[in-house]
Amino acid sequence: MNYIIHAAIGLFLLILQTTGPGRFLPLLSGYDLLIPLILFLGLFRPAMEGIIVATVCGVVMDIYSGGPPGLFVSVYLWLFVSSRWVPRYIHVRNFFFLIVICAVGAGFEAAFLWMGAVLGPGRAPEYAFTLGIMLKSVLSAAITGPVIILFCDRILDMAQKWRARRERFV
Amino acid sequence: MFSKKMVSALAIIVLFVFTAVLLPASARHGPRAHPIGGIVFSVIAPVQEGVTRLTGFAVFVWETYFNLVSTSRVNRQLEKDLATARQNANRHREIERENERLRDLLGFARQSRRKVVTALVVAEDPAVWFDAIFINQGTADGVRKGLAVTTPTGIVGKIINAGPNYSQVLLITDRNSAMGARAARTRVRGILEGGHSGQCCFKYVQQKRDVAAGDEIITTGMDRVFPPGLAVGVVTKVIRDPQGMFQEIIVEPHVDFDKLEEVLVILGTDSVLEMDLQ
Repeated sequence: MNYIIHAAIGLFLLILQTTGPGRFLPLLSGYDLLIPLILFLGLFRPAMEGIIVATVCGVVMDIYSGGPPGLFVSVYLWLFVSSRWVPRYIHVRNFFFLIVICAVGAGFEAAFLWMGAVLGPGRAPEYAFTLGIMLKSVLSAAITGPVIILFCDRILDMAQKWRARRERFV
Repeated sequence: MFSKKMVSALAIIVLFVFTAVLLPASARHGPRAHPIGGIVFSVIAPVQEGVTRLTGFAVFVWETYFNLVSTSRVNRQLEKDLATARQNANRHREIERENERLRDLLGFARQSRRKVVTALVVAEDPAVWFDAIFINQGTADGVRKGLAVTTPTGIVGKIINAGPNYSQVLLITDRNSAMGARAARTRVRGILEGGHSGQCCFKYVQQKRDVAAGDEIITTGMDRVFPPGLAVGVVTKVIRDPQGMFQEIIVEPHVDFDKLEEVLVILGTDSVLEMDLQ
């Protein structure tokens, strides 16, 4: 059940960033909207569930992106692993923490994808362009990322309550 | 048998090896067709197509019904423009007839029209670092990997991954894109590569060759993907470094990729014949 919900959220976010609505809302087109989902899995969900969803999301993004295969799988798995480590050292759980972790996550992915673009056969991106994308990613993620994490949490919570109610009746 | 810590450490090592060894090797080859790409496209692309059409409809409603206030003013202007356009059309018809006659005189055989399929752009690349789009035509419509994608205004890119009903197109502005091109005025040849911020670079043009800002760049057909003579873009900047061997030429594509809605896929890779999209 949880996997279906994660898949639905992932699909919703992917469609949002690749089709019309994403183009009209600049804050949603500045970075990869699946980052908050991966961070949510890392922070709040069991390890196995997170690894499976992060890998599937990475494979789909690798297929959908014009980048080299394996790039998004690596980014998502590293993001997932990092977000599981963070709570061991930072014992803060508030909205500000989510802002910081989303911004750092987006910055990390931007740096990783830049590396993928540099290692590729094509022309390396210029520094001004790279910096522009990184800044846009970090700012957009800091503003909308925590909202997406809370959205994921709320959806999963609602689904679990619905399931519990149904089981009680059955 | 294994402790939880040991499994975690092993997983991290595997991930590290994957990132450090396999990923750079994969990156060197650039974008490739994924074995399950067609299946994933078949599942996700129809939803994307639906959302794109729905968004397009919403934009249409907004523009049509909510902008009625300015319509009458625009209408008056359009009537004036129409009168001018009619005059121009008459003049162009005359030029076309003259052109036909001259072609016949010179003995040029009229080339047969190439078969094309029209496709709707249903989605764009989720990563801002790469330039690719998705179209709603696939192998079922004769589309296959390596075919050229264009619009009447200019070249768009080439198919890099084709599913049964949807395909992925690598845009000419992507860093991994490269094609044969020439300056229409001076016939100087070079390689047009993707640049950044929606621009391209016309590379490997020697310092002594004549290329200037405003020059039209067209395809050569030598890459066996794009038919020769198709418009690509216009030169916006030429940087001549006395120390370097080649010029640095920036080309602005004719196609506005942000507003791209429909494209034409040219079926067939034989690039010897000249194509007439009109």
